[in-house]
Amino acid sequence: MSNQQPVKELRVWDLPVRVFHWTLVLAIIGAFISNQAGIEYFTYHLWCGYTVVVLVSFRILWGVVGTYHARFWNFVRGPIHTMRYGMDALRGKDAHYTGHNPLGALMVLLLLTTLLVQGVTGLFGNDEIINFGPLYGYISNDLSLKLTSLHRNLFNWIMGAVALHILAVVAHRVYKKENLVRAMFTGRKPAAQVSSVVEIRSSRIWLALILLAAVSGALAWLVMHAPQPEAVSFL
Amino acid sequence: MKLSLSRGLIAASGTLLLSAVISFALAQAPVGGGEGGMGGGMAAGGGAEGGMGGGGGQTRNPADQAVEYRQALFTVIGGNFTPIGTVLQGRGEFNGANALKSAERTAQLAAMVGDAFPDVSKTGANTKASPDIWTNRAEFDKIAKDFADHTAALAAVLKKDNKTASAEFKTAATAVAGDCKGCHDKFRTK
Repeated sequence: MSNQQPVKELRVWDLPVRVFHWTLVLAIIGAFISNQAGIEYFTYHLWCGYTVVVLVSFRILWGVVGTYHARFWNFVRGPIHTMRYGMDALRGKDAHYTGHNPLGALMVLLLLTTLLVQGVTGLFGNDEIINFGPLYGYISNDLSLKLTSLHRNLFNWIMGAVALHILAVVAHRVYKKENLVRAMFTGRKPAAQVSSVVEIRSSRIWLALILLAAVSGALAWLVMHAPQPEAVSFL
Repeated sequence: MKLSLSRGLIAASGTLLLSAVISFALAQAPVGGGEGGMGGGMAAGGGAEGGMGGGGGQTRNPADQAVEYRQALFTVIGGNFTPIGTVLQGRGEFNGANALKSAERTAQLAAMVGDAFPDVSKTGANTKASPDIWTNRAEFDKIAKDFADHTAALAAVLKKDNKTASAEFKTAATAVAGDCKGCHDKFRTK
């Protein structure tokens, strides 16, 4: 890829953020495939859904206690700042941001929000055939069907958001010469695009593992304590 | 650091709140053409009565009659196929006599599905049936016929041997459940 001198790079994305990102990608793809594959693959769909819920919940917590560029406060900007950035970007003179830029921040919030809704509605849903979400027993059948409907419709919106997200990454590559995909794998960006003041020092792996365990445990508790739907027999 | 922590908390709770609001708003909104009450209620949870709201005591028009009829049909199909479904999902014990009874009834009912969507029911209120059924009738009829054939095949498998939940039984039952999903995905509004 590079034939010149190795460029000096600084650390931006911690390991939890990177693992989160790519695992989320795999879980979304897996959820799509396991739904398309047929009704008998529902268990896989369910596990992909658990993964999405756990990952997104983790990421929201990580946005509070994670490393510098993972924290919402350090990349979510107000509407005026964001609009100004958007206008500048259209004129082709937007600044480099070390972490997420203001528009990227909006995409982060949009994707986290919609994916959380998508995951949680799935847990409460049912397909009116043979499959039930694990939390179905907590709510009425009517509400479950509404949430299932939302689960089916929101999918298309999420695909739209994902497409926009990918387009934006391509635009960064083409117009700003920033390789965001590579950075999301290595966690590093060229020093020219990073202010050394905000280089991260550690990935806080232990904290991340504790959060991950806590979120998974909470979900497992909810699933295991869910009332089981009872079928009336007419035979 | 302290300030940034509290701002971070605000952003995080904002995201959570936003997701809650979106779920709630979307769950309240009538999705997919305003059919409030759900139809068939195929699975165990039922909900059949929900779909019957159309009549209101007045003489029902033919479209609403047809919608009511077929929702009742799907409710009964669901009630009969559910015991097999729970076995497939590992939630229920296999009982050979019950499975055979379920399968035979489901097969009889499945044979009625194609006829339960007469042209007159195109305009029925309170239905989740997609208009595509009537513009793409050949494909719909093919799926309905597959459903009838697969349920008959399932009954035949069990008639031959219903001592255990055999691999053959599971394959046949999965094909039936797959027909349900295939048709829902294609010909039912979301």
